[in-house]
Amino acid sequence: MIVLFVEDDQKLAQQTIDFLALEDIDVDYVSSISAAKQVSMAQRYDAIILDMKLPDGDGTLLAQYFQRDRPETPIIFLTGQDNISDKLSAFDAGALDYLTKPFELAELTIRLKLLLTKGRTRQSNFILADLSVNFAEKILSRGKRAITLSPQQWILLALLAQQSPAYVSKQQIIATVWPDQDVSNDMYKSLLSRLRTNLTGVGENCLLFSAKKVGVALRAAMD
Amino acid sequence: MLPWTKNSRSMPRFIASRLYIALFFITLAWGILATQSYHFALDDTAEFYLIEDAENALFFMSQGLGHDFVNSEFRQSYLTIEQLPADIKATVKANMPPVNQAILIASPLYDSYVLPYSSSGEIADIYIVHRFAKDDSINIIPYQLLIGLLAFFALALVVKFVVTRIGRQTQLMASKISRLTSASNGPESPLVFADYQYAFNVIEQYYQAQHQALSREKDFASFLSHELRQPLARMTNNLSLLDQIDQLPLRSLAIIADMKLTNKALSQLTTMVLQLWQNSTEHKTSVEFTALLTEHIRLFDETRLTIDTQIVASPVTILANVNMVALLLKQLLQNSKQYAATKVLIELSARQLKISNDVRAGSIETLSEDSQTHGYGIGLVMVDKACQQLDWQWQQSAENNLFSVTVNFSRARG
Repeated sequence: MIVLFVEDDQKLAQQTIDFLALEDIDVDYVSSISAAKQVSMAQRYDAIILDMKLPDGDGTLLAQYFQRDRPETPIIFLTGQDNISDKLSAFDAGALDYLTKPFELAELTIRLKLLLTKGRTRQSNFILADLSVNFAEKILSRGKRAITLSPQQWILLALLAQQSPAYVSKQQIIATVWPDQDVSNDMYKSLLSRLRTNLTGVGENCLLFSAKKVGVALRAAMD
Repeated sequence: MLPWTKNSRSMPRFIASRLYIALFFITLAWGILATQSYHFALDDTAEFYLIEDAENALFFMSQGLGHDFVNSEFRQSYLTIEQLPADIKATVKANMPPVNQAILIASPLYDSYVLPYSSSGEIADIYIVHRFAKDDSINIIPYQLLIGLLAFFALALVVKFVVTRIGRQTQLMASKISRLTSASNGPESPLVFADYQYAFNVIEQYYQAQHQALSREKDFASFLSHELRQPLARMTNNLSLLDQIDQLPLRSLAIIADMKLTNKALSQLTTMVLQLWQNSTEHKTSVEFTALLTEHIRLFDETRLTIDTQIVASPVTILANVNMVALLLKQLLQNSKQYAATKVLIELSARQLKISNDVRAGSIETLSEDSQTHGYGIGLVMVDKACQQLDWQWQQSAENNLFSVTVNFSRARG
C-alpha cells in the first residue's frame, strides 16, 4: 500500500510517515501542489492525504485536480481549522474523509486502511464484545475507537486471541513475544500494561485479565 | 409599488398623496373662484352698461327724443314698473331693488338685468332692462371648469413623473445597499440625487468598515487555529509514535499516560477557545437541548458525586449553534464536577438551566456573603464568553454552601 502525503509542515509530515511505515504503509511525501502533481504523473497511489493550506494554494484545488485525473483514488483531508465551511469545501472537492488537527495517528491509519479495503469484504478475524480485530490488515477497533499497537503488542494480542478465553501463561507469552531475548519482569509488565491500556478506553470494560500463577486471558468477563 | 410599501409608508407615496390632494383643492378653489368671479365680472360689466344706457335715455328724454331712443333688441327702457315686461315685473315688484342697483333676473329663456335709475333722488326715474336670450350667449363656466380639470391632470402627470423618478432612485439606492451585503458584481447606475448618493456613501463606508473588521477577525481566528493546532498535532503525533515503540521502560508508561491526558485536555481547551472566536450566530440549527444535556451528564459517570436531575417532562428544543451549546454545557458540568464535594443538582425548565453543587473544602475559598467573584475561575470565564456568543443570560449565586449557575435561554426557544 502506498499513499501520497502533501503537507507543508515537515516535522508533522515526518512523524506521520514514521508512524505509517510501522503500519506497513509506504508514503511518498511532497510539500506543495506543484510537486504533488509532478509525482502523481509517475506513480499511482492507493490514497492521497492532503493538507488544506499549502504554500502554493488551497488543498481543495489539488483535490479537484486529482478528482479529474484520478477519480478512483480516495482523498483524506487534514486541516488545522474546525469550521463547517472548510469541511464542506473538502467534501465538495471530492474528499472521502476529513480529519482536524490534532488527530490521532491511529485514527488516520485506520481510516486509510478502511478506505483502501472499501469494496472488499472485510472480515474480522477476532471479535470479543465490542472489540474487533483484523489481523491480516492490522485493523483494531473497540466500538468507535481506533487502536494502534506496537509490533510486540500485536504479537501478544494474536496469541491471546488465539487462546481466548483461556489463560496464557507468562512463559508462553515470553517465548512468543521475545523468542531469542532475555526478558526482565519490567519488560513483561510494561508490555501487558500497554496492551491493557490500549484495549481499555474510558468507560470500557476490561478485556484483559491476569490470574496469579496462571497467566493472562483475553475474555469478556472475569469468572 | 415599491416592495416595502404594503405595510409602511413610502416616500414617493407620501409625496404623491399630498401633492394630489393639494392639486385637488387648488382645482376645486379654481372652479369656485372661476364661477364666482365670472358672475361678479359679468354683473359689474352689466351694471356699467345699464347705468350708461340709463343716463343716455334720460339725456335723450331731456332733448325731447324720448327715453326709448336707446332701445334695441336687447336693451329696453321703461318709465314705470308697470311698463316692465310681465316676466320680470313681478320679480322686480317683489324684490324692489334699490335705486341705481342692478339685479339679475334669470328665467328659463332669458337673463335679464334690471336697473332702476335715478340721477338725483330715491325714486327711480327710469328702468333700464338688458335682456339676453339664453340661446344667444355661451356659458363659459363649463369651459373654465374644463380648463381647471385639464390643468389638474396635466399637473398630476408631472407629479406622477417626479414621484416615479424619486421612487426609482429610492429603489436603486436599496439595490445598491443590498449589493453591498451580497457582494454581487454588476454595472451600477449612479444615483441622481446628491442626498441619496451621500446617504449611500455613508452606509457603504460603514458597511465596508464592518466587513473589514469581521474579515480581520476571521483571518486572525484562522491564523490562531492553525498556529495552535500545528504544535498540538506534533505533540499528539509524538505520543502516538511512542505507542509504536516496543520495550518502553515500565516507569515511562505512567509518564506517557499523563502526557496523553495533558495533551488531550490541552487539545480540548484549544478547541473550546477557538470555538469562542468563531461567529456562533452562523450555523444555527434546532438543538435537542434535553438530549444534549443528558448526554453530557454522563461526564459524572465515573465520579462519586450524587447527581440529582429535575428535568422538565417535555423535551426542550432551542435554536442555536450546537457546538457552542455543547461547549457551554461541558464547561458548566466540568466546573461543577471540579468543585463539588458530594452532590450536584441539575434543573432544566423550559427557559433555563440551573446547576448547583456543594463546595469541596479547599477547592476554592469558603463561600462568603460576597460571592461575586467566588468560583469565577477560567471555567466561568468560558461560560461567560459562550453565553455572550449565544446571546444568553447567566448568573451565579452562592448560599448555604451551595454554589449555583443559572443560564437563561428563553430567547433561543425554537
